[in-house]
Amino acid sequence: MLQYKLVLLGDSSVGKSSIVQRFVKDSFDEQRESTIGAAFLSQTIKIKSPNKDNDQENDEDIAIKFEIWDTAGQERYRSLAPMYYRNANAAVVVYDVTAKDSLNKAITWVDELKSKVDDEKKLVISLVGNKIDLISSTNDINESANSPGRQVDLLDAENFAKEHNLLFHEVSAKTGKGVRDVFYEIATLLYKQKLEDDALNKKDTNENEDRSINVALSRPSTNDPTSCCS
Amino acid sequence: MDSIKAPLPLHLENINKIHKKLNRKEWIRILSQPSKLLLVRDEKLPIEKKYTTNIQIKDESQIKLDVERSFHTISDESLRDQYKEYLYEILVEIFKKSQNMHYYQGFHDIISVFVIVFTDIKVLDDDNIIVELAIDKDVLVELAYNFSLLHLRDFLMDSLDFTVDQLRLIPFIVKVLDHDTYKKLNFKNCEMTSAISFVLTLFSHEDLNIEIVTRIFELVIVNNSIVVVLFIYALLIIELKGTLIKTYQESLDEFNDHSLLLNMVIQKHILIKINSFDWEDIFTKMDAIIKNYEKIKLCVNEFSVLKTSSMLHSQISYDQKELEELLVQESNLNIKNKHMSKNSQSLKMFVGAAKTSLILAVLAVSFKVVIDYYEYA
Repeated sequence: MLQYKLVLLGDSSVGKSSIVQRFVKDSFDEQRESTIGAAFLSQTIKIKSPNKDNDQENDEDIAIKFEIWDTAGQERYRSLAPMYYRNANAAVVVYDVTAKDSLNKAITWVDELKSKVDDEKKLVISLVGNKIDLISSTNDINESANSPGRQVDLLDAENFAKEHNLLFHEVSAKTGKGVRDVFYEIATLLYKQKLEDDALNKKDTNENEDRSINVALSRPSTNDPTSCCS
Repeated sequence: MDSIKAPLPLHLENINKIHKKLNRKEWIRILSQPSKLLLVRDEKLPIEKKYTTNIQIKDESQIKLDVERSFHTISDESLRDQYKEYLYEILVEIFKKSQNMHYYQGFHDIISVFVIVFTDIKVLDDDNIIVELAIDKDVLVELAYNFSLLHLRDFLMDSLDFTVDQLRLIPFIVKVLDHDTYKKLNFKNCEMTSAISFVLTLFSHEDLNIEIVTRIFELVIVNNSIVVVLFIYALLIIELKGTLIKTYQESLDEFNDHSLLLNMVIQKHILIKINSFDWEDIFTKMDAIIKNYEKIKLCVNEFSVLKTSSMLHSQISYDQKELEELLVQESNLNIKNKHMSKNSQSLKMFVGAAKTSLILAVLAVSFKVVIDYYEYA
């Protein structure tokens, strides 16, 4: 089983804990307490190998265990965040599609991750807009009158994600829409990264072995009776 | 004091039970002291109302968000809404009283306990359930405000720095009480972030039985020190030592961050067992420790509650003005430290390390009485 550390970041009340709850327990609490400090949860999923030839377990599913750190959103808890994103393999940066400022906060988290994480290219970041259930369908006039409506333009968020090489999803923790995809996409990408790393390491090892053979061949053998060293 | 006129629905019996066990009068007597309140018999209107309505609250939007998510364990929506309304009103009034206090997520949990303690539930003839304040709202605000000034100032700064200082004391308490556990769990250089929600909310944030939560609040009030919360957390760790050591050691290979692993293991197992600990036993141990506890000079800032208004066995009583002055001084120090840390992160790290060593040295000497107790108990 492969194990990965994942951290959830984002402004207060954007639904980080609800997303995790939907992913881990497939449930939703309308009355959810705020997170203080951070909460730890884990969840194991199975993904199909993206490349069967390289898959050591052949046709078997690949088990991926996420160790999830769900952090508090209030600004004062921000100073604790480095402890949770340090050595993380993935970060889910959450904003609320009905709260404009929450995208700005998400952007500051992405900037911080990009500047503070040692190997920025290895960290998989997924930008996630939550609460799409609160955006009423344009066909339903009655519903739209009571809905807070979309405050964050889909294209703005999507473009930001593209420019910064982030994964991007809009989800609803309440209905469950899109939540599963966030984590499966991250898992697949992390597994792909692992395969590439393994291949690279294998190549390096082979090259090193080749080099050491060449070196050995070019050195005069001490067992050679004709050698000058004998 | 109880004004419940009819039998309560089963799910509310717990609240009824708390009111019967609690000594509200004692809470009022102790927490009204800084205000020098002259309480009348029914605890109504004893104070001069000095709030103004047009003061803007810095963190009002955060308060609203947190209030909206409070009392989630109460299934009756109308009842929940009534509690929320009181909670919001009390929180706003507290922050109107002092602009130097910075709201933190978790403070709402503490004030929720005050709301539960000082309200009664009544079942009306038409079966509607209403929540009524058992004391005047202004008095309740005053009590909660004094409690915050006495015990929570370190947390009400605009950073977590002084909270972290308190959390750093937990490993040393564990070390003194059970050196073997300290060693096996490798507490050295470990930040106790797993304790943050327990300490900042005095155990009121987790789904711990409200009866136990109110007992913890009472321990803090009666002993006049928040240090009891740190001791309780340390005692829970020791209570779970077998499980914690086993899980920690088994998982060491899987985690590359020992400190995070330790925090994860502790948080997970305390939460699993939170309602099945032998709390009476924990409180008995707590009492014994407190009785045998010497005055110690903890290495926290000079204006910290642990060195002033919330110092165990201290005979000094503070009035509200003095407490407000301490709040200002501590806030100024916090701002100065934040400025320093921005300018010199490395210097702060050095100071932090030196400070930690100093705490260790001071605690090792000062806890002698506690150690003696544990050796001969």
